[in-house]
Amino acid sequence: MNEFLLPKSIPKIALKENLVATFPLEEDSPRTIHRYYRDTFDWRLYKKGYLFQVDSDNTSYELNLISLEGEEPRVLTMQSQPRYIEDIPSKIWQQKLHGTLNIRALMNHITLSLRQHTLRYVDKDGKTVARLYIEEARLPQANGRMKTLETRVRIVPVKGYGKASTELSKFLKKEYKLKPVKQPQFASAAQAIDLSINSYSNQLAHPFSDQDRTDQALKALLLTLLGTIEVNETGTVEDIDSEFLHDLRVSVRRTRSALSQVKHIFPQRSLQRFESAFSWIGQFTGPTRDMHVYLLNFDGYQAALPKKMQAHLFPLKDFLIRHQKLEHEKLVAAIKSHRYQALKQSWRIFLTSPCPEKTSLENATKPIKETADIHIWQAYAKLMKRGRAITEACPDEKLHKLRIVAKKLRYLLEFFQNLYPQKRIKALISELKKLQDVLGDFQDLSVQINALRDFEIQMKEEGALNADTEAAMELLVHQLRGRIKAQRKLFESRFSDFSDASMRTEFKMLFKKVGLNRTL
Amino acid sequence: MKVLACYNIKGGVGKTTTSVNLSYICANEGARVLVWDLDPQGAASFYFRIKPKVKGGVEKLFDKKPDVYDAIKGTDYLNIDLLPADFSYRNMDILLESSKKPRSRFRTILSALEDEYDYVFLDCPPSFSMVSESVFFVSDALLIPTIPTTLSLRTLEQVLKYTDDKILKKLAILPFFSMVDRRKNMHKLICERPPKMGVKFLEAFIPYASEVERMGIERRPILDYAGHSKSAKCYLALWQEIKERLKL
Repeated sequence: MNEFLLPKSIPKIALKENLVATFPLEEDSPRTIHRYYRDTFDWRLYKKGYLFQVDSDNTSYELNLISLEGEEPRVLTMQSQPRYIEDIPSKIWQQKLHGTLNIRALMNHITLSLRQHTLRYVDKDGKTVARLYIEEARLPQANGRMKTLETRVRIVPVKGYGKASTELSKFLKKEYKLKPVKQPQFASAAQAIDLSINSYSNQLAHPFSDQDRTDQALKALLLTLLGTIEVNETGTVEDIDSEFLHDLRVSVRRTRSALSQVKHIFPQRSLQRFESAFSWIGQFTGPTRDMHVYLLNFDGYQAALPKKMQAHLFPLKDFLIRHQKLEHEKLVAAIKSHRYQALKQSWRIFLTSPCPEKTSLENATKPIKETADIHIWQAYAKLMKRGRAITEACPDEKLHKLRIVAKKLRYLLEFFQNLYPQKRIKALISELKKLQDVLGDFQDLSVQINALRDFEIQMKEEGALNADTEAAMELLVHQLRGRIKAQRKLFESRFSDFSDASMRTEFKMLFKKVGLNRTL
Repeated sequence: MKVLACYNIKGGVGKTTTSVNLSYICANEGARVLVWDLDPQGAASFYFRIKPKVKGGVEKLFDKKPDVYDAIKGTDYLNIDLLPADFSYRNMDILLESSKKPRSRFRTILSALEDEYDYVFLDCPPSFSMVSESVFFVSDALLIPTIPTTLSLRTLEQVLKYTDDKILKKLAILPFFSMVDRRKNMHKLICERPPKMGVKFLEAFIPYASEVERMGIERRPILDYAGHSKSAKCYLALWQEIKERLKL
């Protein structure tokens, strides 16, 4: 890369003058722009080897898709900052990015304020054969102050005209003793604000050791979950991407699951307070998440209908958007409330306070491995017992309850996965996930049918339901019912896979301890 | 990658201006575009201010393992590259004739660029030859600028007959009127009622206008120096219609 850091001792004006005097350079008007490095919350483009850089002078937005692997960059100018893939008015860009972005939103990870000076190396025909940029960049820090980055000089060759850029590069090295810099601008900026690129993960892989005390280990795990809740708050409040709220809710559910399953570790009085508080968070975040899910499903709903009816479903989308906004306002108020902030504060105090050396709580000082073995084994036994009790004739409710049992087992396996051989535990999680997928889809379809029915009533009350939309929604419900039946049939085969002899043996070998007499 | 050839056996009908302006519009839509200036006269290269020179000439390009990247030049526009013309292109026909598989020569070159570009515009020389036959064979569409005069329509008929003779069922033929002067009665009449020739003329047309001629002085696409002009709008409409017809 032909990029150099310009020390303060070299004034840029003097540098420009010297360059213009030495080479056939033409200067464009300097411009003040904002440079945004955008990606999904979990850096999907970066993981695929791309930087999504947007330069804007507040009137237009120049999108640059820069390959980290040497592919030619792509440029597109548009009038607004794109958030979703469908905001980009280019089929080619949409096709290129679809597999990576899918439904995820783009958000700013780094914002730079930039003063850019451009010098173009022009040949006898007036053709630009190389570009030299001098960029002075500043970026806002967490404390609100602006941090100034070192000025960069960047030489960009034009394909087929390498000589001009080489001349410029040699000149800077020889005359000014500048050395090429390896770290690109976005990486320096990230470093300056302590942003770890590509670091987001909601996966739990806590580094326990077998002999850790259960109370201490669990507190560490719960503290990680609290961190994930907090990391996702800003994105949830700003409604950048539905995934922030989703991850926040997953961490809340994991917290609740840990508190409810592992007993006699913390004083009951403290626990009850926190259990009900986390249940409250689950409740107030639920309606917005539901609306997100229906909106994410909307294209699928439409595609399931005959072409003629697809447009009739749009009033449902309008209804969902309207209610999503209303629910989101309530959610934001709850997150900003004193109750929520106080809960987090007291939860953090509880989790960071040292555990008493001696305690009457029977499971508190047990080694974490022992606690994990017992609880995973018990959860597995419960899942097997209830799963076997499912018959063709039993009510749907039993499958719904089984889904919750399976989810609890999944959380336990994930919490404590580092205590077991990685390959073996991951294989079990993967098999369990397949069973959960069927149970989850079954539950989702039932919930969706009921919700669509409720929406119909609400839309009628709001005067937003015409006969065509009603007919389209009825047909949709009918189709979802058909899929429910298919899903229930699928359960039998998935459960049979999950409960086969090799899986039973594996669960036994990994988790069953002598003294636990439950047989499977 | 879609390959669009601007072709007519008549010269001076607006093939190069079409290639250059459509490539510019296409690039502005975010596509990566290559213009291959196949005409030894090098007009497209001239418009992009690039020397009509390919190191090693056409022989190097038609090598069994051609290194076409070496010959490609970046234009002043970030999404557009040019494979320049070269005086040796006048021998392209002879080279192709003597080749065992003349048609596969073009295909080999373009296949190497498949991942690099979304569109390739071939700015063709005005002739019936092995070169044009090769172009038809690798292209997805022929864009045929046609001046609304009797003689021009006659040459279009010849092109249609020629492409019909070959096994070119997938090749879309998109003629459109170019250098239209509405003050001339014949232009007006032909544009309003194009003769039935078995292909449908595009509705969009390019007027005869001074700003198009200015391209030779400006050496830039019209949309870069007269973006709001009537001609610029006509090129935009033309591209829109081409996309619709080709379902791009």
